[in-house]
Amino acid sequence: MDPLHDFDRELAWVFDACERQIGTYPSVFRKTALDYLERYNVFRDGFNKNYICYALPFWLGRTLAVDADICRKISMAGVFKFFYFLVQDAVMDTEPGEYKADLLPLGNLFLFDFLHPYRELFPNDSLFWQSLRQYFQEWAYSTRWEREMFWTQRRIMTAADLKIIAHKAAPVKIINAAMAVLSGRPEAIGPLDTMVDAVLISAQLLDDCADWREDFKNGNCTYFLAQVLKYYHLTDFAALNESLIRKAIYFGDTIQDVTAIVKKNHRRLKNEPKYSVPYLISFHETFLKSFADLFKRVQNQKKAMLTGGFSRWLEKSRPFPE
Amino acid sequence: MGRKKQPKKVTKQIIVEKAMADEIYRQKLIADPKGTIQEYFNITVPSDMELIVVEETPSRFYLVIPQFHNEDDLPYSPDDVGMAW
Repeated sequence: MDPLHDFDRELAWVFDACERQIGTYPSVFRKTALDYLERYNVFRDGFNKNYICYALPFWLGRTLAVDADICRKISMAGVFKFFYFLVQDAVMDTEPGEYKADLLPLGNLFLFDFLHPYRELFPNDSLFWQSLRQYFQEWAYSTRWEREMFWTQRRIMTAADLKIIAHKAAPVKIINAAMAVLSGRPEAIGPLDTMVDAVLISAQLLDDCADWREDFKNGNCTYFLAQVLKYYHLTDFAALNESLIRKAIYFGDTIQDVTAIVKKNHRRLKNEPKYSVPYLISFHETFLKSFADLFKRVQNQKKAMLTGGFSRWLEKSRPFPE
Repeated sequence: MGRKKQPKKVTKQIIVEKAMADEIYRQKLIADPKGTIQEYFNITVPSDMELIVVEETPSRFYLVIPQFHNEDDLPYSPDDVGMAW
């Protein structure tokens, strides 16, 4: 079971359709829009980004028995939805001296193409629109909350806060509502949202581990860095430096603490009694594997460090005699 | 016709084990670590590297604290994983 490549044909159709749609944009926007499409194209050589927003409709389509044509439409909407929120993020993250407001008009074109299929599929009084509103509100709150919590309340993130952070990607769940309502099973929205929230939390934690240097430089006290503070019994982010963070990674339980949450999320996915999504479970397994690999690599590097400097020199510079 | 033997990788363990087995080598290693490693293993230890050999006794042991290598690359770089979507 391959959560990406089992749907190569469908995703190829989706990306082709997105390219054709972008071809209808005013010419001044086309290059930038196509750059987005190329950068996040699952078929690009070296593509290593997350792809849940494109593939989730097909995974849910299998579980909920939704027509393949509808899954493709919703996946295409997912691409433009992703780009719309990328534009929002880019404008929100503008550094002093930068100017990104030119992206906003393009963002609006993405917004139209993201919402258009839903307007065709769901009447005004559909439950879908209530769910859509909820997800937009979750996203809006989450994007302000992290800054508000850390910089204003000066509170360090806890495990209970992770769901709010994961709601930075809440719009992914629009797919849950769409597929559940279309399959005639609106009661599935709750369980699907719980499972996708779990996956988004794991994805965020993996991002935190990967981006700790940049987060530290930018003063973002992520959950990962909050575990480093906990290791040293500190509450002041300003007390950290890169060396301390590295030592916490090698000699503390930082990675294990984060991995435990990912494992708990995996159990949640596997224990869903009625609306289990095998492809979502398979996708989440890649996160488990990533954390297991990370832990193993850290342990190997620690072991090498403990053998001492002369051993490391022999290993690196001259493994075999001349 | 025999298969060509792969040269053995020289590790710290091999260097130290030989000192436990070979008395003449042991004395040479203590007296002149770099010269002895060059002589026996054909490995040139750089001149800017200080190498000290110590020997435990029944009542004197050593705890060596390695240096923490802050410049090492941690296993992940930001390009290893994608966005949370």
